[in-house]
Amino acid sequence: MRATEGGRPYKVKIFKNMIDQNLLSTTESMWKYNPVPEFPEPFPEFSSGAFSVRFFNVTAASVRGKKHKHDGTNNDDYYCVSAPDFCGGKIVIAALCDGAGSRRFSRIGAKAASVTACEALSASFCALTDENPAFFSDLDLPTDNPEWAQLAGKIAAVMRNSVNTAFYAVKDAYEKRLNTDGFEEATLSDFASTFLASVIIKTAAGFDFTAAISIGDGEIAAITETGEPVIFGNSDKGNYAGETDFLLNDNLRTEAELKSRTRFSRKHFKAYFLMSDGVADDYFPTVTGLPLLLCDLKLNGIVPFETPDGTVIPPPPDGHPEPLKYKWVNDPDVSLPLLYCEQFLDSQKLCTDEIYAASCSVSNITGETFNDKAERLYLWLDNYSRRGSFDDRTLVVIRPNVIETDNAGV
Amino acid sequence: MSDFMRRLPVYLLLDISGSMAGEPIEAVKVGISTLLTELRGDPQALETAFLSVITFNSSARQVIPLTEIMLFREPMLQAGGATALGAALSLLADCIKAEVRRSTDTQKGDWKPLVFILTDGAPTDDWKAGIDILNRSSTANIIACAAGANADPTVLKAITPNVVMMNNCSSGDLSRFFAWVSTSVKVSSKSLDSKPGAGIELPPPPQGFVIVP
Repeated sequence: MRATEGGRPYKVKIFKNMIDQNLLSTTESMWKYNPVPEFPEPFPEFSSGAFSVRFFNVTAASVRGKKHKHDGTNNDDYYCVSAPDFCGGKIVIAALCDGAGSRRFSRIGAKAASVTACEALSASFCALTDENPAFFSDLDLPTDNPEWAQLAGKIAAVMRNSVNTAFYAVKDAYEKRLNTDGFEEATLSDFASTFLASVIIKTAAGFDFTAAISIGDGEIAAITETGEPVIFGNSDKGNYAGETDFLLNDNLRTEAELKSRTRFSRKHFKAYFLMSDGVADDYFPTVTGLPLLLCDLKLNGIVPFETPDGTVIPPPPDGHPEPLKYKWVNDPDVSLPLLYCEQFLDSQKLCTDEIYAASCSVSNITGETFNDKAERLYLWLDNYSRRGSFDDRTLVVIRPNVIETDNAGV
Repeated sequence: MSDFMRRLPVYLLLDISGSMAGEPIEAVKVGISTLLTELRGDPQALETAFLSVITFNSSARQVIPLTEIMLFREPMLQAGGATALGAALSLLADCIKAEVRRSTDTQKGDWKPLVFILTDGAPTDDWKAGIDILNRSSTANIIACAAGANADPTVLKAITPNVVMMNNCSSGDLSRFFAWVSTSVKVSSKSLDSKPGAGIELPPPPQGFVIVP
């Protein structure tokens, strides 16, 4: 591919993890759009949302994958994000579940698990902050301090409890539908889904304290202010793709097992992500893919471009590549221009900071047609193309606000 | 092709022994051609399915390595010789080990391989040794088809629980077999996200085919 700016060619070497453009040009017209079935109960095909609280900005979206659109089947992912009122915008809670593709009602299980986990975590953290007025400052204590250990233990128990609460919510969702129209042959395993849950808390000293727990694939991960990727847990994978574990697996909900799946971190984050495997697989391995994901979000106007010190780095002298366009499965007459950071990884071997800089000059290419961040994320998730990537995609992006913190707690 | 893309490896193990000479081998050729046409019309298969052909008669040979559908060229097949099924299974194990990527922390694994075995006669070599090698070194979803009265379904049942039998080795039955392979490849990816080690759901076999219990 070649593109020009100011009469000078920009040579683009397609990165090996990049789309196979020839094949995608062939298959883009073959994917068909078939609506989601209304029976036995309607389920949203996509969703998106964004909100800001004092310390965090949240943008999230979920889209039905090309395969499910083609087959006329449902989006099996579901997410829930909340910032409870009681904490003055210092806590964001998120849960994301991916229903098993081979299970008929897994989307219902995914919704029950994620919504209930969010509610349970919100109630539990309300109780924790109520019982401890120094909650937010205690999170800043040295990790060898007994009070920190006690608090961490309580948070870990809350995270573990969210898994069991989610499990019973799935069981309840199944039992409520037993023998109702369309669910006659249903079994509990038909409601199987993965489970990711996380809480991110702004401490009194301004750190981003996070707790995360997961069962199955998908990823919880973050990028620190210094650009270091942090992975929260080991995504459950079998020998081959698509082999994963689910919330309904009794062996995975033992206390010991859940303890091993609970992760803490206390750092300054640039961005924090929960993603279903439909996104995580496209940026695999996460440790190297995460900066590329953040870069793609910046290039396409979902996350604002900013340099650590607030300065604007001039764009690269050779300009930028042209955005790539593929037909939207929902409407073949529409092709959204999108940028891929791999397009910038040419022989000059631009680092990600330089890619961000390049985005200064191109952000308006993809940014003019839609203004709302949630809509941008939805459209980007629904349109970026990679060969072999047609699963449902769900992404929750949590970015801390850079503001003065207080030491009073809430 | 991206090193990070998930592929669905599909291996065809085809008996080209002397008993397949004439109409059967011609039907197999047509079947492969039909299979390719079908898969090339399916975007999901086109983006993910990779096909390999291993033939066996007096010996086994991988005539087409794992190749993406778009670049696949139909092999020249000629029937003759014995039925070295054991050697084919052993070679299959080697091919899976060499060609199929497993998930690691830094490598995205392929989908679990799909293997279709088509044979019209009893094996003439040490097939049990082949099964041992295959079981020791690789895992795959294997579907075997006993083509006609001379095939031995009990041997195939020792390889995989998924065995179908066609009454004769006619061109019509072979054509239906390859159409079923095509449907199976398309359907399989829908049922692959399962617990590690779980099997797959296959479409119902063609009319006239019997599932061997």
